[in-house]
Amino acid sequence: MKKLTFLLLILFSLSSIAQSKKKEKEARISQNEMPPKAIQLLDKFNEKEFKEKTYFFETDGNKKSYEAKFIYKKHAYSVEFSEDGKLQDVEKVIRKKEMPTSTQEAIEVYLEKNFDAFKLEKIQEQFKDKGKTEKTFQESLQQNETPDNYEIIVQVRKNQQYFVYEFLFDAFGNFKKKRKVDKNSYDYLIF
Amino acid sequence: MTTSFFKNALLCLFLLLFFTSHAQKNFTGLINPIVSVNIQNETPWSYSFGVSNRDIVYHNENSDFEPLFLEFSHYTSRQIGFNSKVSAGVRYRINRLFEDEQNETRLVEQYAYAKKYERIKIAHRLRLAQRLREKTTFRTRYRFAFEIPLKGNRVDAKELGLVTSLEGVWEFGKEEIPNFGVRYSNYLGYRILANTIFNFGFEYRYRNFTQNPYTQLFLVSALKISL
Repeated sequence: MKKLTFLLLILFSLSSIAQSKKKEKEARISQNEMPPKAIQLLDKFNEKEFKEKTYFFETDGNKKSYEAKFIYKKHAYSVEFSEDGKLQDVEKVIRKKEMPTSTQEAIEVYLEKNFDAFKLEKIQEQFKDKGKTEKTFQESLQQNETPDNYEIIVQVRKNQQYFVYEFLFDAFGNFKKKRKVDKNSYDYLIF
Repeated sequence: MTTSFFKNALLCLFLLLFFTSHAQKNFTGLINPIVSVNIQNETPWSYSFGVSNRDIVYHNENSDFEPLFLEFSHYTSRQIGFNSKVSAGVRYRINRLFEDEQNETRLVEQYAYAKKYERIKIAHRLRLAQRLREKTTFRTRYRFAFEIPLKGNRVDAKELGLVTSLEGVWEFGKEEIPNFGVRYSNYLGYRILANTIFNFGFEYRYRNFTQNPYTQLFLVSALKISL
């Protein structure tokens, strides 16, 4: 019995490790391949000037989803939908200086405390759908609207080793979770 | 739309370069297949091993096959910042297999800075090399390369990327007059698996343009495996 518990514990730890790594893969699709419910929501905002609108089917481990990407008021947006077209969240790429100073400081204090060095690569505001789909989408398009979370890709160095993580911080800069991201490989361009 | 634009652009460039080179004297067409293995992990150290062969297939209006050399290479690199690494390497060229020529050893020191801006990956490379053979030649070269995915925001498995590079080469030595050259390459990178890329395209070299210019067109074919 003890052996079985031990084995189950090891299996559970291994699966947790597997889940904590980002394994995202995107494939470009046409508008017709998007769930109709997702297109219906986007159509309600037709009067907005969404530029370079593209659609993707995304897998992240076992999770499958659809994404609409576009540029609006100089910000890159990605709107994620479930397989049946239900809005999951809206992510908006922002610059560091667009973050409230207090949030920025809280995030930097956390990273300084936990790593030897770090570099913020990509900052996104995340607006989660809380049931009122249109309202969530509308809010994400506003300027200066407080998001639910900040999703940040950070390159870090710790004990002479280099990693890339995707961090999730709340609106005040409190750490929520992190997962490892595969490092970009450049060697095939260098050698 | 974007994909067909790049495909057409690549085709036009290839045809343009082929015909402009074809019209010139002192023109050589070469093939240079390469297989390389890059080993990288979370430590700052990474390694690259390669083997390549170069053959002349066309020279001054004559189709001709002439094997030139077989080359083995190794580089050890150390990451020195989030986006930069320094490398030291050695390349050994076996010329003797085909001609009664001395083999060549090259020592290479390199600094590279690579970064991804949205969809585009860019890489700057500054390389110093010492070519040790019957005479010693010193080489300084700088190359800028970028890769654009032809589908989506990054090149995933079974997808294509378009790579363009431009390089300046300055060569000098005790027994030779300094000479300059430029190299331009354009090739497609097909990611067969997540860690395996096959490159196919061309590289155009305009060499020694300050004295006796000559041109070379290389057919690029490389299999690059990352472990």
